[in-house]
Amino acid sequence: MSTITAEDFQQTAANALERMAFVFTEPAEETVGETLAQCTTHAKIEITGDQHSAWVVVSASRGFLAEVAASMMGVEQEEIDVDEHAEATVHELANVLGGELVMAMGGAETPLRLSLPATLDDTGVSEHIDAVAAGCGWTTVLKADSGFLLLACCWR
Amino acid sequence: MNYKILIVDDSPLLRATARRAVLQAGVPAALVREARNGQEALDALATDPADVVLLDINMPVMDGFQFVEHKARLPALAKVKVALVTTEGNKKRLERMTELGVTHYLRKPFEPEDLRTLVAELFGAKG
Repeated sequence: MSTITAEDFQQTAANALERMAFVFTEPAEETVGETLAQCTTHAKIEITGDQHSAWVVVSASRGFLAEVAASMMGVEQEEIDVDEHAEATVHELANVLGGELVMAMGGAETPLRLSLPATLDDTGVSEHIDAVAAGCGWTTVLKADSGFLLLACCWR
Repeated sequence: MNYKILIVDDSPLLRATARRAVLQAGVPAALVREARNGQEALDALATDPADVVLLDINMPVMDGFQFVEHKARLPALAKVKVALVTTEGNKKRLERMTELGVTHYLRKPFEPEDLRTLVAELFGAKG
């Protein structure tokens, strides 16, 4: 299994966001705490295999979710009801970015499997960020014109 | 293009994206249906078979792999084409899907144009 760094995955995630939703991101200077304070919706996806497992937590701000949802649905951001689409959007982000992590970890030959995305509340996401801080992985923050995307990854 | 399309994905966002691509390819809206998992797809096809199924893999209740295995055992659905639209990238699992009759594959993340091209190819294959 390949070791994926935060820097590697930042670029992978940026490419994925550009492909799926024409959302252009760059690494943010804001801290995880500053970003998390702006993120409203969170999801976790797990990756399992015979030898390795990992999880990815995706947190996004309302503006970021609106931009992604609007682009994917082909409508203007102003037409998006963020409350209606936030959970589905963050789930799809977790699904796609989890899939990208699987490919980065083992490629097409490694039988890793993705779980279904699960919603996390604020407490849940904080617990996962704490786990990363304890040393099981990394966090990274991406910034678009519309808002923030926080990614946390942990593996064993 | 009077083809019946069934979009199978648990994500309403992806269903909307796929629906848009199919409509842009010229399929009348009345011929486009949606299902949220493999079981709903089998139920929908039992009452009215489609020409093409755009199928996600990672879904609750019945995933895309299970759907394809069930479909392969149903002669009435033998002519229904299946295209995977999924984050799945495992070579062996995809080869198994091909053995069971899946003809097209588009890996997420994709650009909207990729999906329109896939739909056009499927119509070409149907024609």
